[in-house]
Amino acid sequence: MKKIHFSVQIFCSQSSLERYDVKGLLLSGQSDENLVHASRSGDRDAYAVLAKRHYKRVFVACLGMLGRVHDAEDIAQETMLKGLLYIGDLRKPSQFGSWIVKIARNDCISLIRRRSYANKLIAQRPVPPDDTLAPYQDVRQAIEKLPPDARLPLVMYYFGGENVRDVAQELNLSRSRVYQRLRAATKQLHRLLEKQGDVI
Amino acid sequence: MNKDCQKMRDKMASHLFGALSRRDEDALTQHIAGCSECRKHMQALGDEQSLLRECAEKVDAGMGPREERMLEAVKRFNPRESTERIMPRRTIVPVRIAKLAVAATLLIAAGYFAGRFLAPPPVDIERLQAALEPIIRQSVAEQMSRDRDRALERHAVRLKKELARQLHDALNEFAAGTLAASRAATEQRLAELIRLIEAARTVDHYQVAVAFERIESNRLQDKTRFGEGLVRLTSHRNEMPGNKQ
Repeated sequence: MKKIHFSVQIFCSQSSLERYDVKGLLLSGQSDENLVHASRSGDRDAYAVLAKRHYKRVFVACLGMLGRVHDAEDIAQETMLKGLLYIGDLRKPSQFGSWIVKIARNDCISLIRRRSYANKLIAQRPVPPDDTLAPYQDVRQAIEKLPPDARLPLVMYYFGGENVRDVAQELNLSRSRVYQRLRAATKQLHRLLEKQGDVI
Repeated sequence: MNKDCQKMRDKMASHLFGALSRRDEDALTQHIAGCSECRKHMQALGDEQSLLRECAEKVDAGMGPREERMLEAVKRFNPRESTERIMPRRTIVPVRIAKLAVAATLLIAAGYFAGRFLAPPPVDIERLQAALEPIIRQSVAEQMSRDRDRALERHAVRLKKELARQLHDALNEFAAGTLAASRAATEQRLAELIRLIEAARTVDHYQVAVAFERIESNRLQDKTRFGEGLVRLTSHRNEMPGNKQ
């Protein structure tokens, strides 16, 4: 990858490289493995491409576990920085995606534990208002109240591209098991929304 | 709601995810057509699904800025700093502080109420004084006795040290005097010995010189005698008859 970049630099000036982000284009076409190697040697741009490529997957996993957009964003960002910090420890560079999602899940579990411990003494802090999501407050609250086993596949399905096969692969479950959890989550969500008086 | 309705409602959830067989789809469609309750339920589930999709779209629309914020954080990230210090905009610290504040408030309140309601009635000062006086006197006397013993002990130790020091100094002084006297006597003896050796050597020199003089005089006498002898021998030879010319 460095060779390609170098050969492009021979034909293009530095300014045109920066102007048209040739390096970004080159990096975006690289495999995870190459990007991990480049990141390990200190190429921050390579890691940025890698982080951007897997950010949504990490964010959705965090959202599925935590149920709050703000928390998910915090943990997803923290996870990406941890990934940069510990990328040297990654044994199989081709499996960066699974590795980073695993870190995100561990961080989420850690946050849930801390929060459940803190909530024994003090009420949960209010979430900062997000105007764009204001009309969906009821459904968001209902999602938050779902148990994690039900919430995770539901969020991954709707927020991650509505693909049961991907959800099954990500959660290491059979498709029928994912369908079963999705059905259970839909029913629980309906009951919660009924309680909130949002549904007929 | 009868048993059929319950079964169909189970299938409705599967229908939402496209997981129903054609046969089950037909059965569901047929049931909904004849059951208003289930139709309403199906409608509600559909509405919820639409709501979820819209919400997902809204969240998805915010992914761009979120990615930007994340990429900015990646750019600014300094690996030397710990992850915990960089990260959370919302950390557990305020909760801990609040927890400590609550605990402190509870402790203060508990202490106040315990003091207010559980404190013993006021005591009679005179009786307390009378009861405590002999104990205090005894305690003071014991303390004074202990202090005196300690002071005596300290004094004895100090005296012991002083005596040891003086003895040490006296011994040192005696040793130094003895050593000086010994050194003077030794030097005197050595000087006398040297003088005697010198005198003996002078006498030897004198005797050797006298001996040399005697030897020299003897040698001269011998030489003279030897010359006279030779003269005599020569005259004797000349006087011999065979040797007359």
